Amino acid sequence: MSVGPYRLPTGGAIDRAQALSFRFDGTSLTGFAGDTLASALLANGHRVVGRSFKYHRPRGVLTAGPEEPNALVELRSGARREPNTKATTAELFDGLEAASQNRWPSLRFDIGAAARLAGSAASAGFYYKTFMWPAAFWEKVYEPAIRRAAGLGRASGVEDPDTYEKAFAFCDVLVIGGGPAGLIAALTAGRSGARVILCDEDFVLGGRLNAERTEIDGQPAAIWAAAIATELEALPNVRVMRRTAVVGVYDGGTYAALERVADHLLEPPFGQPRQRFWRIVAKTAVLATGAVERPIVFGGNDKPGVMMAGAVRTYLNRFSVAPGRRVAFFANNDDAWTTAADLRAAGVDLVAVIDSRAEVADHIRAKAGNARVELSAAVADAKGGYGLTSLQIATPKGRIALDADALAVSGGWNPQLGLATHLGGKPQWSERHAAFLLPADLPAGLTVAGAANGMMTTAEALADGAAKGATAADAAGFTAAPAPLPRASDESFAVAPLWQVAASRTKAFVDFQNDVTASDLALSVREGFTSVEHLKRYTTLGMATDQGRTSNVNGLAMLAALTGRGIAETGATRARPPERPVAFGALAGLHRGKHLKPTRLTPSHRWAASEGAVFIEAGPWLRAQWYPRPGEKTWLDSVSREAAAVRSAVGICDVSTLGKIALFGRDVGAFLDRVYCNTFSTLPVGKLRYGLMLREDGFVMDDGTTARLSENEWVMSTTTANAAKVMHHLELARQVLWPQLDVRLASVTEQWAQFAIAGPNARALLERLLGDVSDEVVPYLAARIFDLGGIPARLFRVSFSGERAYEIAVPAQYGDALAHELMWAGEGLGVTPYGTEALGVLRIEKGHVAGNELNGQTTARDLGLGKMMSAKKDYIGRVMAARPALIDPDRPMLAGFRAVDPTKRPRAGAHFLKIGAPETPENDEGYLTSVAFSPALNRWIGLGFIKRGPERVGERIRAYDRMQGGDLELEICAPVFVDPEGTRVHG
Amino acid sequence: MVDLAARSAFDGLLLPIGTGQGVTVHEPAGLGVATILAGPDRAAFAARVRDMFAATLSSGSMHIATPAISFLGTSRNVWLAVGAGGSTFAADLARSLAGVGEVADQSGAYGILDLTGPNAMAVLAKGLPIDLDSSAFAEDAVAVSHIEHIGVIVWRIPGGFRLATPRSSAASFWHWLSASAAEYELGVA
Amino acid sequence: MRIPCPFCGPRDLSEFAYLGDAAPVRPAETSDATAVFDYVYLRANPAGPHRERWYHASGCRLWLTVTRDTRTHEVLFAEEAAP
Ligand SMILES: [Zn+2]
Repeated sequence: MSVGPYRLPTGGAIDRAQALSFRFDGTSLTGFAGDTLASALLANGHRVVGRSFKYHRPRGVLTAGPEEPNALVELRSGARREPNTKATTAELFDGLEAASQNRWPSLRFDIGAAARLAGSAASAGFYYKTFMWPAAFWEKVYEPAIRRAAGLGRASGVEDPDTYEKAFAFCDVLVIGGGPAGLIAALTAGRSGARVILCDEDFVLGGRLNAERTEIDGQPAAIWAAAIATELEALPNVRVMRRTAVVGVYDGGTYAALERVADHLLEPPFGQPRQRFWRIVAKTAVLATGAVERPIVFGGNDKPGVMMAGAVRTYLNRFSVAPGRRVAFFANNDDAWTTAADLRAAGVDLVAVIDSRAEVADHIRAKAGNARVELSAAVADAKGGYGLTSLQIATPKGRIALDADALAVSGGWNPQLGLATHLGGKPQWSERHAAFLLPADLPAGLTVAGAANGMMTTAEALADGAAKGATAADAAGFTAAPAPLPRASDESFAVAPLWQVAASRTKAFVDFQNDVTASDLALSVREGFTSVEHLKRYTTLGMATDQGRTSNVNGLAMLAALTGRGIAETGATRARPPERPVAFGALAGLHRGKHLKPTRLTPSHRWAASEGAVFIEAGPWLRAQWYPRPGEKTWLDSVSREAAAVRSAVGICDVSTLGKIALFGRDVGAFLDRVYCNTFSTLPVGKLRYGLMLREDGFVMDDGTTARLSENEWVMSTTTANAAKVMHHLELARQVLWPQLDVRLASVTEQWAQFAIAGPNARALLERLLGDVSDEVVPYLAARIFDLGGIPARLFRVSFSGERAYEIAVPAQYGDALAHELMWAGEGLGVTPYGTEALGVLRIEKGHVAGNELNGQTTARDLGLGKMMSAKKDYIGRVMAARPALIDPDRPMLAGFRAVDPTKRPRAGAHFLKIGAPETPENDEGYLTSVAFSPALNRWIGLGFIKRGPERVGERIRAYDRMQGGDLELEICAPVFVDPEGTRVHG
Repeated sequence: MVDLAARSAFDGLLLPIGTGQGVTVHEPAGLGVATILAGPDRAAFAARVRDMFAATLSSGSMHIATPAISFLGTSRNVWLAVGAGGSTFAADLARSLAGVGEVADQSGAYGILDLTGPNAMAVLAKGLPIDLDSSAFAEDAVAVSHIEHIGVIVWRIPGGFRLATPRSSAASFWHWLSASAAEYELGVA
Repeated sequence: MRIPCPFCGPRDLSEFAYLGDAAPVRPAETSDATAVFDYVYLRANPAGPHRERWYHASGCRLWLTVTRDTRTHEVLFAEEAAP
């Protein structure tokens, strides 16, 4: 077994006793526990790990963290295949499979790169300029071509077999980042007794301490970090969340975080999700997200083998991997020279140190040992076909060439402040740091510590972290004792800005992931896109999945130079959540497929299922739509049989989904007078009445019946759809509009299982259960309470079908049993369960309005219910309902419609036109809202709204439905099709 | 003579997913549930409650327990009463409070579950946006909130929590609970 | 955003429903149509602290008057709307 040609013989935080085998583009390789995919690939000499997005250039690993723009792979295979996974954060596991992206047929030979469009074909604004016209070309030609040639990996195309979940956490102090500042902040706050959550996205705490050879308190920094981690985990009030990235900051101390629970495993263990999306509510927070090193823009700076200096240290010290055999480095700051020292310590050949500055202090220079040093110099062009082979260096003495297979680059460090700006703060430019520092207006409760706060040395970061941890704990109501600060070094980070090497002759990349070059920026400025936000969108700089972590600051510094402005004046683009890419699966959690929203089942659901019901989603409810019987060929057969049974015998239907609100108090009558447009205060005990509720703007909100059960107890029913809305509305009326009234409300929708029993045999059926329910005992519109085997059963004499009908309600736990009892009681009476379709047919035959007509745009007058609006009292909507436009006689009003050809089915949604009138909006006379096949009339009928409808009975009109291709002749008629005299309800 | 059998909200739904080592769910049987709404004369209401139940109800988000009844403050001058007594629970309460407060039977409105075990709180954290730590959620605390869009009332019982959730959503609630508790070896008692 | 419900304690935004400006007062029965029109439609839109009606729909079902800074979403105060 090979440990990999670039693996160093000793050192690192990998477990050499635990070898892991994995595959990359089909090749079997070996790494160690503690590796990332990137470190294992580098150890095995895989310098090219993908092709770039636009130019399909070979790309290698640039960084060692989540800022990685290049090393994106497809991780896993089959249904678990996940594109755009950063190899630098993917933890290696045994059996891992990964594939490179954006290449075809192979990584080594890529058609897209070989045959790529020449010259400016993909420069700034390319998409805007090229694909403007003709429009049809976009869909048919350009987009498919672009998608084949480019794109960032492939989605699996099949359902993800893993689960995701959401979770909530609460704490006094949230520490974001587990580097030196975060660790000591968490420890300081934790020791005070505050509830602390420490989130770190790595799988090992310590941040850069794991990547450096520096010492803390006389021991290796990584050992110190491990000891702090142990102490933190031992504190019961501290929760350490590894593999957890905070991705968003929201108002009121709310933070979003993504925990990668099982991304480091072949498959999630039983019962565990792949990822968990956290909402963390914290009284205070310490942002300790460190800093990210930025590249320098020079020709060929994207060649595999060019790597950030800090990343080189990480691979050397943490993963024990050499970046190459002959390593050069190019920097503009002191910190990067540490890399030179580390390379030498690891025994790697250091070929040259190139620093753009004219002077470097002796003690810094000593870090390079005897290696060649070029000052006032810059790498102008990196060369190599499939990876770096040589460098062209611009020096004061001229251009010199140098062989190297790896180049460590450092342009300085950018504090990571994205989270601090999610609520709108603007980072501020610091000349001393040559970087943006924290905004003046930080989110409430948030402080920033360590390198994120511009405290660039280990000693500074530790001191700042301890101070901010104490402040955060204090602000959360605890008293943090000042902790003795560990001894650490104060390395120099002196930096002289260098953004771009002017002497470069080849393509120089600013944004690696989106393939944005220095010349793209220049072109953008020439074409007038000179504001940062315009530049970003025109060139796509910083718009890739890495959100420009390695490119933004270089890009805007270059923009500043191109426009002759300072960087501070140029400003930065705004960071928005999420700080890291978050899979939709994690945001959805368990809300997938039919669990998108909770489903509500009626109390007799199981009974309905046992009767063979076909169910339909009605809002959150699953309701029985119809009950097919043997021999019935279509739904219409079933529905027509059910509707006919109600007209001829008796049907039962679960209507528990209607909203039910209990109203108590001395003033309920007066209250109802104000919320309904008709009068209720006169309703006697034991009776119920139909009521119509308006909104304050005069349109109809809801309808239903309200019964008075006793002097001070009433029960209201609402439509299924508006149950919650009416409750909300009544609470507003009670608490805000008329608090002086004695009215108290309780929602009892869930408490009562309610069934409609409708048809000429309804009385006979009920008498088998309840005894005498004749008109003397239960007259029309009566509300009575019966004893049903010791259970209080409410009986309401109401009818939606026009037949003699009752609604019976029992506590919901008895609903299923009652359905069975009703069927038993109906034996020999022709009892028939009916569903929502037959319910609809019956009410359309009777011209009763329902949700289709109560659509928020109709008035009481439109519905033919204008007479219900009392002139004797004030009520919600009274004044506005009298607005001229709402009483315009030309408004579409409710009417009935029947197809002239009785076999033709009109469609709800069709618009009405005069016969012969062209189908233009000006000729629109109204629309059809409800349609049913009436078994009673043996033809298709409907309800709808048409101008001056009631005056036009007998007229023929056209029902035109462009959406469904319908165009039928209908005859306007009265909306009541069956029993217009209303005798059957007493029959 | 009609004899209707009651069916609990979670009837037929509760299937174990593990040993119950981390968390156990139990649906208590035969509990009476009712909403109590204090009348306008708050003093008279309070006095009656003291006389009838030896309890002092303060209008807050608190759980006042007597040996027979748990009074859960769910809104200003509103309590959810939960106790033994089955089908006559609400009627008995209404008689006791006649003239000073109103009672709405809710015996069928809720599914009630007891969630106990060392991981009960971790399970609830996967859906309940409430801080259940003892520093934030006292022994006598009550929370009216929601889990995955389903209403829930939560209060403490020995070793865990009792949840009341709308009957109609019981199957969806169980989907959430069983998925969320699977990693803790959800048992059913 | 979090709202400190005076009955339930601090709660997540997702538990609440928003109505809008708390200032408009329903005109008396005798008022003319203009007053009602203003009550229904006319709203101030201040930049800064704003008193608003929120309903704790998933909690205690109390209507609240919440003072919120419209520029920062900072919730300054919450009280029961009922006197
Ligand atoms: Zn509340």
